[in-house]
Amino acid sequence: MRNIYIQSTSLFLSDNNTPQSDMKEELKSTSGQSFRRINRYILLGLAGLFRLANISKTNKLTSLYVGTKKGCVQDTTEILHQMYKEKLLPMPFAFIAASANMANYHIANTLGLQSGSYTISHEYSPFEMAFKMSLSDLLEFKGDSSIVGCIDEEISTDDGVKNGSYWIKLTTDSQATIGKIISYQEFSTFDELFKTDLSDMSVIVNDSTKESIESFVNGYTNYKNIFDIFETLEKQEYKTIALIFRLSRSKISLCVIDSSR
Amino acid sequence: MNAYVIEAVAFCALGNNEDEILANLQNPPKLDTLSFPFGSEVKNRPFGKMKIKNLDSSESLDDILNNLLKELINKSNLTSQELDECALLIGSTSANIASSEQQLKHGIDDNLPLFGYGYIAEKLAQKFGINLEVIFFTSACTSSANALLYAQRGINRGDFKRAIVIGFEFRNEFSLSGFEALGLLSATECRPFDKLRDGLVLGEGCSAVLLEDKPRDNSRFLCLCGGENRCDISSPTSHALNGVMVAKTIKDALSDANITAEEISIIKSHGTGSLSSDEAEENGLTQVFTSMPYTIALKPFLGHTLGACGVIELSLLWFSLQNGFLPKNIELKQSNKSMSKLDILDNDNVYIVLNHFGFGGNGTVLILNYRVKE
Repeated sequence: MRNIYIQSTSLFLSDNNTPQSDMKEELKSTSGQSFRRINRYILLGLAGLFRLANISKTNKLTSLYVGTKKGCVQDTTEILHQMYKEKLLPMPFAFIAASANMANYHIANTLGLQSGSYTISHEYSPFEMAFKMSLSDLLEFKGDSSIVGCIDEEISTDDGVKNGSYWIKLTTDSQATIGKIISYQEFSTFDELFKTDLSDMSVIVNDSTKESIESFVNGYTNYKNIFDIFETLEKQEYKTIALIFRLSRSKISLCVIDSSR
Repeated sequence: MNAYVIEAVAFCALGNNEDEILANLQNPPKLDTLSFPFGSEVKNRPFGKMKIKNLDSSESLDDILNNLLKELINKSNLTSQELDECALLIGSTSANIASSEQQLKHGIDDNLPLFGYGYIAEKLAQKFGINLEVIFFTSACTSSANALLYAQRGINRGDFKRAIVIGFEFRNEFSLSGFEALGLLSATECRPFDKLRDGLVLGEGCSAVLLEDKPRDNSRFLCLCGGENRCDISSPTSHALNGVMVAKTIKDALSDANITAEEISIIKSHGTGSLSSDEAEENGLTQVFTSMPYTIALKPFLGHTLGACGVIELSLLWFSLQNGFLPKNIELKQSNKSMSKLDILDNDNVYIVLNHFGFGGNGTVLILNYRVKE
């Protein structure tokens, strides 16, 4: 398997009532740039992205994979209410910005990217789906680096519903990385998956698979959102991680990550 | 490994079944005119209306997608076991905005069904017992083309043996008013690459194709054999007019399919009829092809169906090729007028470029191979 490394991770969460001006200030401080003509959804994406380490040094041939569960709901709803209740026309900028892939455009434009750019929605695991797409392309030598993220206006966390974005940067360059992806496999059943030897690994599973694996392993950590384990990755707390998540009713993924220094 | 087109169904301005669509492709009727509110005014614009009645509730829009999928499953004789091992990949720009508008028109303004694009795909998958990857692609006009590209790559990797790919776009005032506000809609007709073109004509429709890892008919088949997606950051609404990124995307797609520009016989252009998009596409094409292959544009027949155009236009091409004809070509600056469509279809190994370019600088080029074995 081609060597693929995790270079960095990032997370940005805010409350639904956080003023956009505050978020723009935060973005200006991390990016050094002022952004115009962006709506809240795009702002959420950029605010998280610019927390990735060394993001401004990203190679222009880096591909972008952005997942979302719901997309740009708030601004779209606002435009629809303006049209139907106030009989107003959609403003051109607001109309263009409401397209879910416009976050990809602004990210690509800011970083000067010229490679693939994908926006997908997945009901249960938007980040994990985008991660799988990116990994598949890298494994097939379609590029040498990628940025994978998820942007949503309603993210259920232990501290209530937030909005924000979370990101991971993958690369084939081994310099300054926090983990190495040793393998990625898909299984149609847990019986099949647990034929794989996971001893000496720290098993981390997403909540939707938690109940299914209880009979197979004794100790595991579960996460609600993938960003719950970002700190673990950044601090390199475990040596080898078996990351298990479900992409569909008949597909369970196992991603083994070497997180040792 | 290639992804073979097994069956296709489409509901669009040309009709709701293969026979109607074929007849109308050969003798295209004039597109309808649609009236829509634009602030305090009412605008009348040419529009590719679907030939379906009762498009006035969110339930009926769900019904259309259910009927579309049911028809594809019946036409392809898919068993429940085969559906269980199938991926469902959907592409759309406006997703369920049409349903939200129906609610607003009926005075219901709470909980608009903007409940997540992934939910639309998941609901369909659950209804039909489709249990592998279920993904909704939303990248403006390239949405369903990206779903096709992912299907081809997934089949190629062995992630799944078959995929149903759907593109849909239902009429909505959000899109109509938005494009009108941008000054992009034609008041007359869709004339791709024409000097007198004055904008794009929107349309609606939905289509589903079944792709599998093997052809069911070895004597004649159409398959997706490669493709590429690239982003052009020159503008949020159009590719760079010099066509550099259009050309790069086409070249990378050809490379992915392991073929050369000289092997291409047909180009299905994106061809929207808008001033800048057509200019960028034509400049890109002329950088790749020294002698222009037979080039067609399908949007004059059914309107620009935005995120659905990838799958709908593939289905139209599939219907045509199976019946031994190609839609009328358009003339580009370097078009090869000595080549007729009959010459092309006499060939037993035809490669086709499918172009898709959209808002957000997203560009997706797919490569098709049509083979007839004696």
